[in-house]
Amino acid sequence: MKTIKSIAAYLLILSVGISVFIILFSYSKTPEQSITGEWEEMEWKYEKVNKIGDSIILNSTTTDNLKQLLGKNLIIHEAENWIFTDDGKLILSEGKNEKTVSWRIKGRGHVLKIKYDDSDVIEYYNITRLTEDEMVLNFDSNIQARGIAKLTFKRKNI
Amino acid sequence: MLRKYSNSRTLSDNLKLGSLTAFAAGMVNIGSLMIFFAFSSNVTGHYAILASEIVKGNVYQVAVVFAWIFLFFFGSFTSNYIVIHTKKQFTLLGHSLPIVLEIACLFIVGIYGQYFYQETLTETEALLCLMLFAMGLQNGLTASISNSKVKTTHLTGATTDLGMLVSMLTKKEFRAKKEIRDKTKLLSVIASSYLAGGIFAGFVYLSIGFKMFYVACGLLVCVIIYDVFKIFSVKFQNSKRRELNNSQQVNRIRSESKKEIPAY
Repeated sequence: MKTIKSIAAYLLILSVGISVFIILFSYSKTPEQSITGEWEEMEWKYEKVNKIGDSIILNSTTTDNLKQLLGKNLIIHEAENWIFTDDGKLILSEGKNEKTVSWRIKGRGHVLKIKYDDSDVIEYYNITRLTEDEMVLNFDSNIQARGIAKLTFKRKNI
Repeated sequence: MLRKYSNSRTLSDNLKLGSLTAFAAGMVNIGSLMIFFAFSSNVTGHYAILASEIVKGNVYQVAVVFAWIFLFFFGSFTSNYIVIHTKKQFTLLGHSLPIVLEIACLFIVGIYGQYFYQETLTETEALLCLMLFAMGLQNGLTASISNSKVKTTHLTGATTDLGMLVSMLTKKEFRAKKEIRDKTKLLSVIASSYLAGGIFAGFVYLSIGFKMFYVACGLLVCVIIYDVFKIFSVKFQNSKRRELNNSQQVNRIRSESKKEIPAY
């Protein structure tokens, strides 16, 4: 009788945990589902900077040059439209130029991994915000000044 | 390492158990961070993340982080459940079973990662859940059998205690106490083993990837094999001693009986 009681207690605790998880999970949409679709790049912003020498360079600046400066070594450079397909492909396009790379989401759904299909180049972005119509990505930049760059997107064709 | 319980454990038992399991935990934690971008044993951090995700209203993240914390809790629950419900004559079995389960979890992570992992979020979360459960099992077991002296998967408590102990060592009267010196030694070994495991994982991951989980499994297998070997060697020594005693007894009886035979 004692054994049955203790096994029942064990299973009860397990089922409580699983139930809470299922309830929470059923009310949510996975980041993979949320990110799928077409996004338009709205803004590049440089949020934090370190000192170079004695002077602080940028502070919360938004410019087209900034995108050129920070993004010149990135896969996403020169892309205005991002199309995430549900088979793990990301189509980056600007005008007639188009490039296809692979995407994956990691961690608890807070890291976006982008990889060139024909090379080993991999980039990671923090997904700071992901809603129905807005996505904000952050990445650490080591170009000239170290800091955190912020990319804001609006969903197209909602 | 495993068969002794609570206060019957020596410093040497705790040092061996603490160093091996802390090394494995360091490996697993850094492995999970490098591969999945999430810690598998920093539960304090997960509580902070859970709170922040609740505030942000990210239900999916709340569900995932809740599952991680729950599985760590459930791993520890399972370990202690097995330990306290095992009959005394099967102590080693009861103390080994959580480690066997942990090895199974880490082995599944290694096999799945090496052959099947497609990097989808569902796979990532499921593998992380297994690792959190494995770490909970390990921490629960080591804490349970060592009377909470050995905790190897996270170092917040250990670092706090170590800080206090080192400060106590600045006074001569505390330095004279063996208990304090032993505890400092144990916690230092655990912290350095954990760090060493993390550094080792960082290097080997680059060359062997998911196979590094087999190394962690190997370390845990060593923990079990050591105890099995010890039991057999003790049994062997005991049987040898018995044989020796028996033969001595026989010789004594023979010599005594020779003395008793009357001379004709």
